[in-house]
Amino acid sequence: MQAFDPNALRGDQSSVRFEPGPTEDKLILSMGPQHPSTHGVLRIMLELDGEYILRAEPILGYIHRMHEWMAEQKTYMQFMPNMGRVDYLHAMAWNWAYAGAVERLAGIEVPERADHIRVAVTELNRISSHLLWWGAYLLDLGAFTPIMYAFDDRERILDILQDVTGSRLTYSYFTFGGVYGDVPETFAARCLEFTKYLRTRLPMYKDLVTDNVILRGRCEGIGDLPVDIARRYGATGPVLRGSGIATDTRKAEPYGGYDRYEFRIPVYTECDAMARYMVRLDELETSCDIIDQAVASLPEGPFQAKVGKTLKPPKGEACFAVEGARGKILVTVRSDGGPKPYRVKLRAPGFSNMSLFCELARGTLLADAVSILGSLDLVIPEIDR
Amino acid sequence: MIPAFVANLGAACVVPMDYAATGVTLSLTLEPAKLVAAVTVLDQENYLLEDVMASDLQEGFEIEYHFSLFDGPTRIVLRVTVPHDAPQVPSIAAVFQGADWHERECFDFYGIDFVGHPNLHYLLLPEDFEGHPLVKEAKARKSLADLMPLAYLVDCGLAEPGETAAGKPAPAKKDAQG
Repeated sequence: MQAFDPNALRGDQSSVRFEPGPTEDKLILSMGPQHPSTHGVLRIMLELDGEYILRAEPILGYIHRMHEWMAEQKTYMQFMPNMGRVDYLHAMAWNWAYAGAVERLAGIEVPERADHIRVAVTELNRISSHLLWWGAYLLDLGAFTPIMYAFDDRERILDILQDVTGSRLTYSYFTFGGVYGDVPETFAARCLEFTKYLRTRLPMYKDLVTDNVILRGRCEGIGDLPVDIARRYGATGPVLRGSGIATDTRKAEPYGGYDRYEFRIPVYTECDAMARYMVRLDELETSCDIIDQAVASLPEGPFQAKVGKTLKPPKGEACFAVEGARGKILVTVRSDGGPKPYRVKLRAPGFSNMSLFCELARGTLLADAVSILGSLDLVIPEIDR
Repeated sequence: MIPAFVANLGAACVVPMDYAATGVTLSLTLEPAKLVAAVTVLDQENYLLEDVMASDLQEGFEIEYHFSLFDGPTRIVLRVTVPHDAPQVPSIAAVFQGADWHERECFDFYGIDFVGHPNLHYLLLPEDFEGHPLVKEAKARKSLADLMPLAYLVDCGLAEPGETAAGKPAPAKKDAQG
């Protein structure tokens, strides 16, 4: 008869590493990777005392694909489709970050029409990302209906972007020096029609959801994030703006002509999950403002610069920062003068925001941890890359 | 314009960069031993740690720390090089807690040992994975001279300005910095 192996019941390597040793009345709980609020592929090890979290540690890597290795194996252009798959919810921003870094490296000028198109599609994509976050976050908190409204509105954006890019989710629309194809004639009118429509929906969102007492109870005062902690962890985007810092890459390091447009940066000083929620809802409105201005002044002209078939940027190193829906995306490219990048580094905003979770979750109730996790707006493929 | 505190960082070489061409305003090369003191100064100056990026060069692993302020195009890069056979660099996770995961990621991909890191094991790779995927074969490695524009090398004392054969970026960069 086979001898009993006590280690057989001890779980996998991650849980063994996490266990503090024999303890009384502490519970080690593995939340995910199948838990609905971890959106499929994130796992969190929790040490609980009753319902209170003593310690939390995310286990990453469930959909790690080694994009940075792929970058070194492909030519500059061949790597572009990967960018739509890093963060599938705001693919345009990743397109832009990579295209921008290579353009800086190779000294490519982008025509004005292309800049306007880029701004319009990136902001449309930001709205669709925020709408999906909104629906999914409320789903996490137990409200089922809002995601139906969110998807209804999101569908309209996907229809517009489908006619422009040919795809509905994992866009690969940017090229070095512009965009892959020109927008259809009806693009500007459809964008204006959509922003007008969305603005009529926002008051309804507010009445239906934002002012709801249950939502407020689940979000207000939950996940307190002081500015100093946010900065040391490298938090960016709505997470940082919910802690009272009015910083936005579109204003701080204007790219693609964002300095031409007038828009405000939504800031809330409460530092809690509700503040982060409010920042994102307000950003729906600012994105509408930007789209209106970008398509209203859409100039005639070429939509891409002339770039040779095989791009060989001169040796050097260039960074490009873009404001994604989740925060600052930074792509760094190093070239040795050859047809393939020597090194590509992808800085995902969600990666830094996620690392905050251990800090935020300590001492909170398990149910509040779900609220905190959702308020960080995590897209796991971006974190795992 | 170089901020005054840069003098306290103990950098071996300070190179102002052209923001429009590189996205970076200042590049500093440091000895690994001075790293923690330098990032402590940056912490006091309210800088945000963007990421930690390693690359495999002939000279060793070059580790870059990207820092920026909340407003304005300011990006400072700290560069540290460690040899392949003893890739050890002090961890800055005690100063910038966000560096914890970035350092673990560098450990995953390159096997760099961040001395003093509280929890250095695979973050993205499975625990039973062997090796470090981004380490290049010896013959595929390029030296710093193959990867950086001549103006940068000259400013760092790694090349002579006379060597400009095809160093196109050199004049533009010099002009931009005045």
